[in-house]
Amino acid sequence: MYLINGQLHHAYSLDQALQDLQQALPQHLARALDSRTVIDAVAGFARQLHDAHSDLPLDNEQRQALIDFCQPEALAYKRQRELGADADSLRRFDYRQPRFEAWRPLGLVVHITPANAPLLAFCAVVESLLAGNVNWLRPSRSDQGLTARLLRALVDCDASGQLAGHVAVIPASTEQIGKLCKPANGVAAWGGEAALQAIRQQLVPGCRWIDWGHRISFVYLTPESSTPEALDAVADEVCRLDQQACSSPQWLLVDSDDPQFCAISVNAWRRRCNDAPRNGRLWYRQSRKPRKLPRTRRWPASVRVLPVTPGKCGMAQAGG
Amino acid sequence: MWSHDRQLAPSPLFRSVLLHPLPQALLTAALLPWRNVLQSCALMCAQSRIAELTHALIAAGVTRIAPIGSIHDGYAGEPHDGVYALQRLSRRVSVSLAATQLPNQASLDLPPLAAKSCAAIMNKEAFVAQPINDQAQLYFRSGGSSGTPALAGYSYRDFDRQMRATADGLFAAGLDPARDRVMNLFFCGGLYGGFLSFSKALELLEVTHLPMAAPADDDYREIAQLIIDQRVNVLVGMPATLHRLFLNEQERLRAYGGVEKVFLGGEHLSEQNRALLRSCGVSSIRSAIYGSVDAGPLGHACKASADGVFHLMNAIQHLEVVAFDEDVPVIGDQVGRLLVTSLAREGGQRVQRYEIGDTGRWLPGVCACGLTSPRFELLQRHGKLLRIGTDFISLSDLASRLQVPFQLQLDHSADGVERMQLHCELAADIAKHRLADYLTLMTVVDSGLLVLQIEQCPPEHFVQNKHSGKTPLVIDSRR
Repeated sequence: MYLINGQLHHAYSLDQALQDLQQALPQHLARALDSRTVIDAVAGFARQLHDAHSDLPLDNEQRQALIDFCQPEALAYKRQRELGADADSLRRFDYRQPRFEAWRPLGLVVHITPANAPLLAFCAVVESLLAGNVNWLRPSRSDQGLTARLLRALVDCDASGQLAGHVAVIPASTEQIGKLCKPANGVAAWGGEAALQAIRQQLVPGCRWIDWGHRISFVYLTPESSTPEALDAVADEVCRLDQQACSSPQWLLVDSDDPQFCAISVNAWRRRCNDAPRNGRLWYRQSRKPRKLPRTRRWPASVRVLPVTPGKCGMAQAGG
Repeated sequence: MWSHDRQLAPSPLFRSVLLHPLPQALLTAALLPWRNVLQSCALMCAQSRIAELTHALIAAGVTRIAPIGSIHDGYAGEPHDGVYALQRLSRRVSVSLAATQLPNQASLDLPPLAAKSCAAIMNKEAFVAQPINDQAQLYFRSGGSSGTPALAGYSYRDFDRQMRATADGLFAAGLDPARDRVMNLFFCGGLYGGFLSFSKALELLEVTHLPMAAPADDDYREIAQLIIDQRVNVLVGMPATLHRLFLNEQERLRAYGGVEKVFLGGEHLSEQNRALLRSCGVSSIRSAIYGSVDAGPLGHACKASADGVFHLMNAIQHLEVVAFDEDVPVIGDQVGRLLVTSLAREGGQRVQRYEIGDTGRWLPGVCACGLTSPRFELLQRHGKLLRIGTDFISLSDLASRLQVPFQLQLDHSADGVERMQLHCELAADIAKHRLADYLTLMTVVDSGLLVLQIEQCPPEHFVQNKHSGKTPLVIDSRR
């Protein structure tokens, strides 16, 4: 499903969409998008979700996650933390020097988002709107129009009418990604190494590459802290989300070179992991060749990342 | 599984964890092949080792350390994979100008679009009657109109934005952070809000700053000596304090001759007092910042405009000028009442179409100083509070004590001290007796900052406005 200028379209051609969007692009880039406009619209969207005045295909957990993400104070705070107070103000950083600096949007950002976190695409676009960008989203094939509907509902909450021109959803095929990225000033992509590499090769020179790739997280344990409670907590975390988040620990590293201590830990761990419901496993490194790194970005606000069945992801898998 | 070597590899996932021994000394080397993809580490150690191991892990490439039980929980504004996402989505832009271009302009921001106001006009009573919201962190005592002290609340963020605008205003008015040495003499009377505000603004300007308490005993010798010893060249303060300083210490200050600039808060200095300051070498005397404790700073002077003319601080305030007898905008540059809507006020009270109690008019045209913010000329107060000496005098407090009609004429005495002539039908000693318990008034009189003259005079002989025929309660000739 396409979203163009605030309107949903079941059928649209990619070429037509790109032509229409590019034609209007200069006028959207020329007029600054105030973060207040974005935050007001997002707050309205959250209120609507809260009052259940929407027919969006969300379960209760997803609805709540979006409401939490869309809190205006949190978004304003995020912006202030990441870009500083008065980020837009083109001002002297030192009164003694005639030198002025400010943050400005990149311009047009194309987002290529993963299949395993259904709400991530929406959140990625909101985040980029906070920076003032025009955003074209290429959702995963499993998105089924969800993000286009969410963004349409968001745009409808914007009293200024400006957001409609800053948000588009273009369900391009993998082969069309190069075409989609051609006019972009930044491409934000999520996924595994191979998928990111394939996208990156299609960027035009000078286009900013914003990759969110796979990551490794781990536990670092000192022998004196190796209590039964601590090992329980590690086992819980290893089992939570089936380790599909980039912040899921994959290693348990022990600050010791004493084989005896480590052997004791292994045994303690084994006992714990045999308890239901943890049912975790320890692996010999040689026992099975690890295939890939985990696949979801830890989102700053409480958007829960949902585990997926491996093998179902398209080209764009979520990054760590 | 347990593997007693240091060749790390990703886990096969789905509830799998690889257990390795890795002494602290080998962390960086063992994690080196994975440095580009490292993210979170749950550090489990004794508290005494947290700092040491944190540094070691970060040096080894970890970007995030969190407790094991909340390793998936982020917080608003948390960096991700070593960067702030919004910075990756933004450009940092820079503009450098020649030193001679816009030398007193702190920002190149465009004026915000003015919002249409339709709310009711808010007077002092309505302002004070508002509950202070829970975002307030900083409370200032403001001039209460009926004897009870009122409070104005701000969040620190509000205060910061407002003082940033004040700093920009002082910069536009000619303060030079590269070479000026400023003494802050705002600390006097009940107006400590001005002292704290200027302290903050001077700090933001990163200018050399000597905060100073004004003496209660009228002895300015030590202050004058400090000005000379510390080569102070800029004074900021209330007109009454500065006038008293120059009056008492004129010989020494004249001999020093190093005070070049005097920045006043809002009020005017009489021509006579200006002459005194000039005779001591002061070349620039400006009413630099106009504002109030309730509404915050509103306007600032510039190098190109006359004294009493202010640029609106339009990044933080919206200003309207409305007619006296009707709540409609004045036409062109007609004189009217000033209404303020604060754009930078989340904490404390709402400031929406707040009638600040002053009159003024818009000045047409673009200012020669280069700033594009609109300018207004501040005229006299029309409200119920008068700034006299270093404090506020309430007209209703005077009325409730005198119990008879009265008229005030404000000017300056022969030696330049502010003078209040009170006309009423009471004999002078009776009137004085009735005012004896008005401590605010008596304090400014006793400290020599105000001369009070009471003259018996029937109401029919009160001075009338030549044009309107009305008898004004206050005639302010303190320019």
